[in-house]
Amino acid sequence: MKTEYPRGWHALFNAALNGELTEVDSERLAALLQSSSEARQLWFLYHDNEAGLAELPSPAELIPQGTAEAKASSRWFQWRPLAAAAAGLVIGLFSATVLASYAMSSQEKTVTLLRGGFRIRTRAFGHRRAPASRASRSGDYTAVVGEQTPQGVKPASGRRMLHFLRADYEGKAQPEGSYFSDVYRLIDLRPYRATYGDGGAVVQLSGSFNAFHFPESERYGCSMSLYALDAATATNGSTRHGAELRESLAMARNSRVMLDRDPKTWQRSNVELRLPPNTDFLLVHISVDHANRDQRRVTFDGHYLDDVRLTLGRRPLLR
Amino acid sequence: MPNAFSPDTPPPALSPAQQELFVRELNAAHALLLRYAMSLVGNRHDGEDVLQRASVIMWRRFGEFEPGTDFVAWATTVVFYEARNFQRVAGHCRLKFDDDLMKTLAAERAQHVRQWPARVTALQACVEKLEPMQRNLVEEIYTRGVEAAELARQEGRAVQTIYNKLNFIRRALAECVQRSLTETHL
Repeated sequence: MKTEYPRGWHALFNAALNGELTEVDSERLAALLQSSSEARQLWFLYHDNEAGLAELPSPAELIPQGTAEAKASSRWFQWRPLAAAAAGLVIGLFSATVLASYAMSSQEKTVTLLRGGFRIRTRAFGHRRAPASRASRSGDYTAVVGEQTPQGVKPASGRRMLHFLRADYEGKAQPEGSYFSDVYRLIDLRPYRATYGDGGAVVQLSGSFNAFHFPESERYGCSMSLYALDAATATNGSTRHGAELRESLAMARNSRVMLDRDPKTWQRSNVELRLPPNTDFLLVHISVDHANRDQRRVTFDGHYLDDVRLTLGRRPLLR
Repeated sequence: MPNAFSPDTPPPALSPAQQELFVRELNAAHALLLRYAMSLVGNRHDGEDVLQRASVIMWRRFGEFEPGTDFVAWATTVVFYEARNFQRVAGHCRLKFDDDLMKTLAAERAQHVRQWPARVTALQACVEKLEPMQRNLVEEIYTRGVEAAELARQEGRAVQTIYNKLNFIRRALAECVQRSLTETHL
């Protein structure tokens, strides 16, 4: 397949994608695709790209390889260069929706770090476990999906939700025995140190979980965790090996939510963490797990997450 | 290929294991099937519509699927018939693809689409090469889902201006991805 094509082919394909085909254009398009194998290949590629663009992370967040470190301090959410990533749908864990809604007095101001109908996104294919540097996010196999009609699961808000697929990630040495499906996000809080540097700020994480109808004998737990990390811990790779609990400055977890068997209901979970003054990064960890020992397996069939919100707000210490 | 699938087929009494298998298979194939549908109806919106209808039909007909056989092959057949029905309903589709062309596209696409993950990886690298203004437009249209007409209104521009920019970006990305795949012999 060649890499350059007649301009008219591109014009026709774009007109189709834009919904601008005239009657004549439509006939020309059909004739072209009928007669040219190369045109058909390019037509397919256009549609692959069209679908892929809607699945990729926010393009504004993509960082050219080699420049991630230099830019990391200037952005809330950073993405690892993905060119070297394993094949697969690669989109980011959390959206770039940052609503800096400072207002009111300094005692009350709040920053919404994450919010959206479904503004959490992840790769559908492979990557390692916890993020290892300030420019990364990671987790197990997941996918972003729309409404799941046959199963009766609709997004809690918006049109998309996260589907937990497996309890392992590409390249995991021994996936057997895994039964937690995890997603992570590492967030650089240093630009907001003035908000929490006196120990007077709290981050709050909330999200909604759901599952399609599953056997009565099975139980599924949901967990949301927050870890406050210093820069050294966040960037030395130790979190990649699961050391976030041991090496964090502070952590909080809510693992009390168990999924019900009604796909029409979303179950909300919340957790909050007071940030130590020397916090540099916040690690967000959300998971679903097989709660019964005898049901444990690496796959998850219909378990979803939506409407994730993360806010940073002032709540002064009691004196 | 089986006969045309009808949404009026009575729903089956699937066992819990069948239900679980269906959900697993459909979710795993969703991205592939969307791409397949899009190339038969010409745009993402119609492709999602077709896939949604086809998913319901798959659910109703899943009792006929033999576990262990190729789910993607079975599912693309369902999507094909649904896309053809979609084309035939007046006003549903602007494309004028006759049966011969639909079959040609479906046959070639069924194999081609299975390599979509490699094209996504190449696409991501190509998006990174876009100019910041172009990436912003991609984000508005594709990530945030803003309609071109609405974006034009917000920016006080003609919608054709937005389309022209999008067209340029799509062409650049198509050529970039193709170059990348050629270099890696995919």
